Amino acid sequence: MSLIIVCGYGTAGKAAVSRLETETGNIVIIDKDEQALRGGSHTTVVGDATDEDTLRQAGIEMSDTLIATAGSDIVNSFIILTAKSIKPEISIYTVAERMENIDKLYRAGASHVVQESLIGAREMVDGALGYSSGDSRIYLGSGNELHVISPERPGMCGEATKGSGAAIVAIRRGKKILPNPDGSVKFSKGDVLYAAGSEREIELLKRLIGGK
Amino acid sequence: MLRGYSLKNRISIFLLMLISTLLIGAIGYAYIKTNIEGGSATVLDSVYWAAVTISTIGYSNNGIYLTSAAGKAFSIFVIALGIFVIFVGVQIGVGPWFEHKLEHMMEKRRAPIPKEGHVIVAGISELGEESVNELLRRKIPVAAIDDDEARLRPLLERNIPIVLGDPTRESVLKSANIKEARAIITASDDTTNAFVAITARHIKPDIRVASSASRRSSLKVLRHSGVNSVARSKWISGERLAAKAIGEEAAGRELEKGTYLYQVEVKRSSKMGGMSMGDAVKKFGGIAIVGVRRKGEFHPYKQEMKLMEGDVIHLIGGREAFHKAKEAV
Repeated sequence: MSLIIVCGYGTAGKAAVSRLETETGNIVIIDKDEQALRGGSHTTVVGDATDEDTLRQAGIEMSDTLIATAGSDIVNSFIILTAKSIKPEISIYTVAERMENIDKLYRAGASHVVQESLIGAREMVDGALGYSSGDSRIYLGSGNELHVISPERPGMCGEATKGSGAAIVAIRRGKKILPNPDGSVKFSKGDVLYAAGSEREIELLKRLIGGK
Repeated sequence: MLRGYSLKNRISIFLLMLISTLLIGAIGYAYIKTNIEGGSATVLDSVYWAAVTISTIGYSNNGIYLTSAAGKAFSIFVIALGIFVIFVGVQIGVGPWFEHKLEHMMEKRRAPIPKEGHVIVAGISELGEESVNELLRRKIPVAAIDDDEARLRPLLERNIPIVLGDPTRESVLKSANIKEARAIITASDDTTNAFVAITARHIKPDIRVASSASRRSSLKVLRHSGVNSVARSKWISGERLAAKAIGEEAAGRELEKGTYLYQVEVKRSSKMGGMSMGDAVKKFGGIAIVGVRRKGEFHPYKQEMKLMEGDVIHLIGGREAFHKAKEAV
């Protein structure tokens, strides 16, 4: 994977780097604050990412991906414009603090703009309804949920699905995942089921197989 | 004129002016009719004349009218007084009374606060407003609180139940029916959020509270004040950016140790377009399809359902299996 430049090492920048680390070691981080950059294992450049020289120093010519998380929509759009002027074909990913700036960031040349308030809102609603991390369920969309269930009784996938309406999308047996099992596949106590369906369907399934 | 008075007082003043005019007219008529014109006037005749004159109807065929010069002058005076009183009266009393009635009717049309199972959103910031939208998308009833009327107006126009007031006050939370609510989301600044959480818990100890946090250092305080879940929107935005940059739709979410929920988009160049979900699973090997998000709607796994360009496939499995699948997509 080619070089990825991360501009701004605040909360969002750190999150981006920690996610990227699992894929590639080829990361350069730019931040104005030398203090913030200290202690990491990646190449760093102290400087203003809206400055062409700083971007060149970070190796923008060798890079085809840039992440702009400089903390304000204005600074991010300026980084985008500067980076695009050096290397028009670079892909730039950025975050919009305010909804009204999404279009402007795209117009500046961003390939994808993440909407912070939309993401925050989804997470808050998940938290309020009990879908946050630590809860063994996830909201998928359109009234569908994903649950992790440990069944108390053995059974057959087809029957469990027919009786509840929920779909058993995977069974985990030890470390092995059985993906999208047929109706004839049996499960037993000790397996872990991943089931998708509406709140009511999942409730029925849990009643049927006695799981939590 | 009379703006400082309450509506009730203004209407009283108007009625008093009207009655006074009527009395002046009646007494004047009786005096002029009997003493100047030498006629006779009963009490009923006098009041009748005053009423007919004030209202500018001026009915005279029944003999109840004044013909002397003084009488004519007095008639003009009473008509002018009547017009004045009625015009002023409409302005200061009847007009506002009408407005009040109308407002009352509008208020009745305001959507009622849900009785139970709703989620309260306190603080209609951009984040708060988005939370309201997200809840409505999930078909969950909401009640919105803010102390700024301007922020609530767009919600009011969309017929969303609202409470105008400070969400750190018990009375305000109670008018949002917090005792029967499922959860409360607080999306103000960190200090207010903490206080809203404390107040909400004080009224209903078992309520779920979700909060936004603008500073990392507030996380602990918010948890202490009774917040169940703190939205780290900056952190998640950063993860999402990284995921996008490496060709995933969202950062993998750990379901259990070593097992993640991944999202990946079917690009135009992908060979997966047109393939059934059942075949795709066979091709991937070792990773399960939960379903796809297509044009904002989520469709759970169906063996025969075909994948399309633009679908976001949701997958469950380990990291290695996911990388194989990502290559395939």
